Amino acid sequence: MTGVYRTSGGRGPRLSRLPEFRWTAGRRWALVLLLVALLALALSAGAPAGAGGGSAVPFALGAPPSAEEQAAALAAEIAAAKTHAIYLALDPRSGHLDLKVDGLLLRRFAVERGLFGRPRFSGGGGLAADRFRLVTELPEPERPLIPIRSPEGAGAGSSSLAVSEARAESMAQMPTHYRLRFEPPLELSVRGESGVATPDESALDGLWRLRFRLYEGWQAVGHRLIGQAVPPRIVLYLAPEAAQRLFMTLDPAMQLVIAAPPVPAVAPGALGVPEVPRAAPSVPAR
Amino acid sequence: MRPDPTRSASLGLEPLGSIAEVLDPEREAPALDTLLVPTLSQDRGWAAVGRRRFHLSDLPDLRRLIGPLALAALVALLLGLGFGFSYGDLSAMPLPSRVTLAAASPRALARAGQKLAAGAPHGVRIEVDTIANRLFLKQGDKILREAVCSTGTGGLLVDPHSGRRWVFETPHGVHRVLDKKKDPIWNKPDWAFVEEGTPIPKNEAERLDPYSLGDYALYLGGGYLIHGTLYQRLLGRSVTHGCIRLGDEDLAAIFKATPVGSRVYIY
Repeated sequence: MTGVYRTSGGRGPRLSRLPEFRWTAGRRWALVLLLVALLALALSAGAPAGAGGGSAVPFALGAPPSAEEQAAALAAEIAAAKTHAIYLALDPRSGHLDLKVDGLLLRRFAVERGLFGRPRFSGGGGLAADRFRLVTELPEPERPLIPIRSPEGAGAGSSSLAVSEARAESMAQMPTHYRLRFEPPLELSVRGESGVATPDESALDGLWRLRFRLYEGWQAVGHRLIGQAVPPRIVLYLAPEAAQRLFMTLDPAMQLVIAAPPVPAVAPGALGVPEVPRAAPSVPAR
Repeated sequence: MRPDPTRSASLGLEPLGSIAEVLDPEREAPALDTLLVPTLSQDRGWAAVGRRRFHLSDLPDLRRLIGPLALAALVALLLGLGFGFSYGDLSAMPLPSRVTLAAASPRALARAGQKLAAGAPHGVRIEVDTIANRLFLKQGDKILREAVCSTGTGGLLVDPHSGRRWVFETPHGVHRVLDKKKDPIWNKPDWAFVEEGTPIPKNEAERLDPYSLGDYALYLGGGYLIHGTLYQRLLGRSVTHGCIRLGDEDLAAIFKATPVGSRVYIY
């Protein structure tokens, strides 16, 4: 006879028969469901995924904004411009994010591709507003300590240059991937990976990237449990350098305007506006 | 036969370091002879942590947890998937449309466009890109002049005696040219002396420096200026204490073209 028996009482250990694992009908169904769910998730990871990445459709350029959208865009922008503060203007149809002030374009960030995500079972619809305020607390940048010179020491230029180089190094370490929260609730996820060559994704890579989608889902469940609205999400794919530059230009409580172009787009060069270029797809991997 | 304790480890019992040891069942648990089933040798399966001994078969059967764990994982997966986000292309995002059709008439659109344009400066303006260290003099859509400049290091200076701190950042935002001066004299603030390692003078006249600011200065308020520099080789780098430095020619041109009251956008 094989197995280990449980004894009743005594000083010794209680030995019990180790139960044999049996494939009951319920267990078989659980396994099948698990495999199906995993397969579905793996397949969906290849579809446009938010923070998880995946392939996405480029901007559909050329769709003209309706009169209502133009009017809404103008109204939102006028309200932002009235503050006389620098703001961001995202045109979902033209594929760029603008840094503007007083209605003037200061800098244009080329967006390689963009996604709009809504939580499921949220009733659908678009954004609740067309103007948002940045509420994410921006981290204090790393500040190099300025050395105090001796009165007969080196000139101001040399020490300033050392500090400048330290500053340049810290700027090079600015994040390329980050998430910004706005009020009314909106999340802007910036992913500085456009144009960066990525190897072909295997099913395992898809599963690995899936963790973001699961995390988003669990976060949404958490929001619902505590009675909070789950904010919609915009994901922008920028070149890494552009993502870093955007991060450096962010100011606390900065406004984001979601707008359609009120006038036909003018080439940035014609406006004399420096454009942070789209990265070429052939850029080698970081 | 007395079993060899060293043999026990080779029979499937992993040693647990100093706190666990393989026990001799004959010495520590004489009653075990009657308890152990024949399929297990007498010196097999016993371990101890401190003074407490246990048999491996008393450990929880992990196989019983497989079902609940699989179910929990499935529920978590389905929750994550079901309540997650559905993504679509941004260009297809439904835009907020709180504007009625009547308000979106061509006339209303034209009025709104004029209103927006009215907020922009009509005269010349200065734009300073602190990341690229470039200054643009613009009017409307035209660039009148582009100049290499130097902006703030973003560095931190700490007075070792008083503990006072200064951050040398060029302030982002909208400013105006409040004043313009030819042959400006710099009234050196305390931090200039702290950085030089010299005592802060009590005589105000000792603060005056007629050389460092160059030939012209445009005052932006808050102690920030657009001025010249003795360190022209450092133009294009972030080396200043927050002011915007220009080369001599560019400074002269900007000074001449920019009236007091002009807007200065720093980003």
